[in-house]
Amino acid sequence: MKKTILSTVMVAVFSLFALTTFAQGTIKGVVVDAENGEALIGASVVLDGTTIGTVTDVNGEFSLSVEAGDQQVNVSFIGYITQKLKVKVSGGQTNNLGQVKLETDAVGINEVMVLASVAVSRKTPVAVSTIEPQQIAEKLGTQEYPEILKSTPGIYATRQGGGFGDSRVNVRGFDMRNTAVLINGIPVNDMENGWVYWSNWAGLSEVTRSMQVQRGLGASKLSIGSVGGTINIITKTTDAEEGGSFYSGVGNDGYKKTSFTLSTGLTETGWAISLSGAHTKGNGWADATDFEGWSYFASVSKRWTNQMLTFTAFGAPQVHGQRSSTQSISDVKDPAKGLRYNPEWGYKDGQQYNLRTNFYHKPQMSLNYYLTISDKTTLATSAYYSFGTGGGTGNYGSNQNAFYSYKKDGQIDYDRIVAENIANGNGGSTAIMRASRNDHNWMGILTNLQHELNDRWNLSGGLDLRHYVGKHFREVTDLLGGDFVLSTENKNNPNHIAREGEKIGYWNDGIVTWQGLFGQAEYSDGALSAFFAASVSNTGYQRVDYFNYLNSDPAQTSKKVNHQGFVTKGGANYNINKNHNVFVNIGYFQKAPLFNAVFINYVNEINKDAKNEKTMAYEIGYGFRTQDFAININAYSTNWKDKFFRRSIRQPDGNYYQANVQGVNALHQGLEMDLKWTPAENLQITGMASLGNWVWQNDLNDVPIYNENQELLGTVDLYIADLKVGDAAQTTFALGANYELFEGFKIGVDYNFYDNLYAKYDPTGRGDIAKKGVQPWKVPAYGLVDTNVRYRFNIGQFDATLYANIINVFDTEFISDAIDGSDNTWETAKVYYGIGRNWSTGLRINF
Amino acid sequence: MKRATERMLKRHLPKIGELHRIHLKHKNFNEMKKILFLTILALGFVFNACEPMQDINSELDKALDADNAKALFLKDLQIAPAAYTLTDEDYVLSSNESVSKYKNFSNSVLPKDYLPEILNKKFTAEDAQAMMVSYNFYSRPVKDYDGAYEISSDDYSSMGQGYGNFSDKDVAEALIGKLFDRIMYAEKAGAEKTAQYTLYAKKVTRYIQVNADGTSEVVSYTSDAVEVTDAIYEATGNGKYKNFYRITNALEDLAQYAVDNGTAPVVYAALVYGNYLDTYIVYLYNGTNWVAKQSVMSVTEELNYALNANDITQSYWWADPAIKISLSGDDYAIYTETSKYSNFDLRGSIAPGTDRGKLVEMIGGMLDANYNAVEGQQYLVTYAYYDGSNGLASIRIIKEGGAWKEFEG
Repeated sequence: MKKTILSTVMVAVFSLFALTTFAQGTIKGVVVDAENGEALIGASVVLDGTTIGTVTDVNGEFSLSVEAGDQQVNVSFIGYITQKLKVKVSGGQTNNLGQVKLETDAVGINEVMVLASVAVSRKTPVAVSTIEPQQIAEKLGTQEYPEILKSTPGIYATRQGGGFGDSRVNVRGFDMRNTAVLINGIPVNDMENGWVYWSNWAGLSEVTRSMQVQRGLGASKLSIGSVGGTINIITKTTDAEEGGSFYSGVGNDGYKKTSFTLSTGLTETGWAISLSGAHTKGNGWADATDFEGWSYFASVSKRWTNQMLTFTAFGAPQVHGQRSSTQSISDVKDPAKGLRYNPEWGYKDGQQYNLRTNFYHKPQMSLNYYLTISDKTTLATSAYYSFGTGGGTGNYGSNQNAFYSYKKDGQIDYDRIVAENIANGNGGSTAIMRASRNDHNWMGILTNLQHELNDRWNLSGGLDLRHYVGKHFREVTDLLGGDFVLSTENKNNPNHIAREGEKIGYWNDGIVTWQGLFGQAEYSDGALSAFFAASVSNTGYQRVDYFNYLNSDPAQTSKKVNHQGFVTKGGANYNINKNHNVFVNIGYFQKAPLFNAVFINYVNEINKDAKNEKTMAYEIGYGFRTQDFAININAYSTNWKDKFFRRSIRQPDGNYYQANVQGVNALHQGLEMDLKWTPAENLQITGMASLGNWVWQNDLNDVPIYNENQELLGTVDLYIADLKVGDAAQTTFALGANYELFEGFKIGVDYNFYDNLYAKYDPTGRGDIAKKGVQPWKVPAYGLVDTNVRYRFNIGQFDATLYANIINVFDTEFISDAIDGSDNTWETAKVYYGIGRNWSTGLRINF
Repeated sequence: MKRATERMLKRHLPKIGELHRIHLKHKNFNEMKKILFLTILALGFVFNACEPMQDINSELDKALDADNAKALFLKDLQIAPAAYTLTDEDYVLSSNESVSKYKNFSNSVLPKDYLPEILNKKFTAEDAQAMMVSYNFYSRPVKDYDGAYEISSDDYSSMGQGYGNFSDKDVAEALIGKLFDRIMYAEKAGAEKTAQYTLYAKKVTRYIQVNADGTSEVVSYTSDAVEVTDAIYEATGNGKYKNFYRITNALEDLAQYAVDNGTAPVVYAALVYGNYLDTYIVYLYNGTNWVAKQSVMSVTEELNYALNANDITQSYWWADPAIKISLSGDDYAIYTETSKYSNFDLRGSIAPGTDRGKLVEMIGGMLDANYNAVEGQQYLVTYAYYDGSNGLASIRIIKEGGAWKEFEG
């Protein structure tokens, strides 16, 4: 055996020597994007059938020594179609291939990127991190989709209760309401409350081509005014190459995933069709968080000489059990409960029965049309339509708190509830299951006209029009033994004997219209690029309430309320030389109040003087790049002013007067750094550091409140100066290593560290002077290690890739989310513990 | 096997060879230093933060000692049932001799003072949890001599008594109860009525007082009564049976005897053969029937547990004077802030938020609106809240001078 190894090594060594004895020549060239001529850094140039090769430098240039004779070099880069070039090399000569133009492997991807304002390194002057699909495939494992961003600066992503899709992500300390999410340039934040429900997009990781976080002002031309940043997701479009893949994977807690993709490739007639689908199922890590999700994606493109039409449809219907109740630490540590404990389920007839089940399906369809009007003018338009149906289950009825008080071994005693409902006979059920539905219809059109004025100036402008109707109601889903439930909330039917499927509780529509106009001027002259952008938007809100108003009452439909917002921003990037660049950006914007700030008290009551929230932000950055090293450093300051704050004050007549109070401001400042280093061809080190200082800025002292008659009702005090902003880790670090042990076999280890995470609290509830300066509870810092393996090999004629991931390798016990308690300590805080060790593995076969 | 290994090695060796071709590029030396620095920094955090929950867990361990004390305390206790009747063994647990001996409470040994200590030794419960406790209470029924219902001769007949009297106390008690059921109206449970009947009793000791002027009368027991001796029976002509045939004989004969012997005034204890005694029984209307009131009655009342979270050993049972209310959907409906989810949002800007005064005010408003709440009465209100998770809590409030405030016990 030993002898065999030795002889094999000898053979290998001699064969290496043997190579050097042949005559040598050199191939050189520069690899660029066929569409825009930009240099592609890090593209690989490999001699066909060998491992001899190199990667392109910062200018896209490469140079490779090869033996003389007829050779084939394969030039490849992720997201592009591999070019196979036949070259004749003579000994001692240099063969210059000139520009090697790589075509993108996705039809229409560049057009979408323009529409979505994807930032370009060393050109767009904003702080940005981009996640490539390869990273998603290798690192995501069973994690939630937004968690793929966790190793980028300024990001704090958690799974909250741990239900499938129940994750959240904060950018620079701002929650989802203040972070815009765009999918292919189309905004997806809820039109009424601004939130992003990731469960709507649970299957999206399958079809994501890139995910870019633009922190701070961002590059979007739209008037979205997101304080924290913009998450720009670009899905696959139609694949330009024929083929497909099949994936099957398993993981802990019954996790199973199957997916496929199929593409016709771009035919000679200019057609291309891509399809993909996935099915995911599992029991969830936390108790009673079983889930099942499907996802589908279809894209059809037709290309003509100067125009292209692409239709894309995707969606991810899912049903999942939720854990929506935070627990006190001592409860979680109760041996009878534990980290996976979820109080929101019980047994009914011996079967598991969840109080909280979320179900949703939101297909998103878009028709994109790209027209090249002239050499200098292009028009890109996306018309989209999306309708969501679904909601979440919960408790209802005059005895609805039975779900919290009837307990058996720590869980809900459904059998007792059923028995009482049955015993109540003709009185109907008093504790039942309902679903709170939030359906919506959303259509919009986004259009961008781009015109090259001359070599240096580029103008663009467009429209962003949206129409949205949200339908909110509750319906009976399970009467739990009784024949009906009495619903008294509907003024049109005040003693409604409600049965399954019938509406109870509330029923109202929120209608939101949006008209946005934007324009941008870009200047680009060699090393300097700059832009100035301005946009305005008008948001129209209208509310229809079918329960609180009689059908005969004209007040059932509210008046339409309009609010205007605007964004102005500008910035510049200067490339000092091929290694160094610096950038700066500054912006000011005003954001129209959200729906629930305009309509208050869940009725058609209009908050007459709801005010815009305002933001002033600036950022400076520095970048350094060489062939194998890249680092980005930036400093930012974001001043968020006049957060919506409403207070009730007692009037002389005893009634309450509600006043909008301005002056609740936050200041988020910080330093961010990320780097990528390739010390050897098969080793890549990544690093990230993010140091934030996010505080509420000032106290409110004796702010007078007057009623309509200008009578002084009282004053408002708020003691929030220098209180840390909660809900997101202010300090984060990440360090990762990816090592290709031998060809095709790559191992990755990632470490993420989170510190200065303060419990979430409502600053507008801090009116007690005794608590002035008392910080919210600081959650213990934690560090997590993830590891992953990827192995590429051949099964017969097919390429296959095996993936394996372990998330939280050391099964570290930590708290990811906390809500501050009455005395700001861990004893009173309510928390979610983070997910323990998770593993998954899967095989993808490409054909 | 050997061949397979060879093949594998042949396939991979040149590639493994590449491993050794890692060559660090010198121009990146400065960056490298930076990275090394960062690596060390990050590794520092790894070791610092590998057990994030360490501090809290060790504090929880400390709490474990308290938990052990608690467990020890709870070991001998049962979870309180909804209703419980004290057994003879339970009375023995009392520190009061009379309670442990007679297995009851009384006006001199009030349940208020001695019942909780027994329950404290037996039961634990959630804070404010109620238990219906039944126990024996001793008290001599109060006879209403003036207002007594005198059993008429018709009544005796209707009860099947031919002689206009009863000769057996138990029979009288039962039959008069049934009679009352037929003829006596009571508005509500708890009403009392004293019945007066004639009891015919043989050979009963009666007390006869002979005054200085030679008159005599029947009196109740006195401890200095002179027992009528055989000699006195002989002297008064009742020597044959050594008793008086009727009470009238006793009154006359003993008065004569005392006067003759100069012993008056005196009280004699005399045995009388045939007695017609005016007898009184107190009846109690229990809601359906009239029952003879016993001196030891079973009393049922609600007691509540006052859980001391800081020191469980200081928890106790007591008769909570507060009216207990559990808020329902109709109560939450009166405020916009509470109507949507039928609970109080304790997080922040939605009232009551973190303002406990506001919570008291809002709950008070519910009691005013839906419970005709009165001044000076304590209310123990169980309400639902949301503070990140759903839960139930209780608050004790009282209305004073028109304003609701938290009751400080």
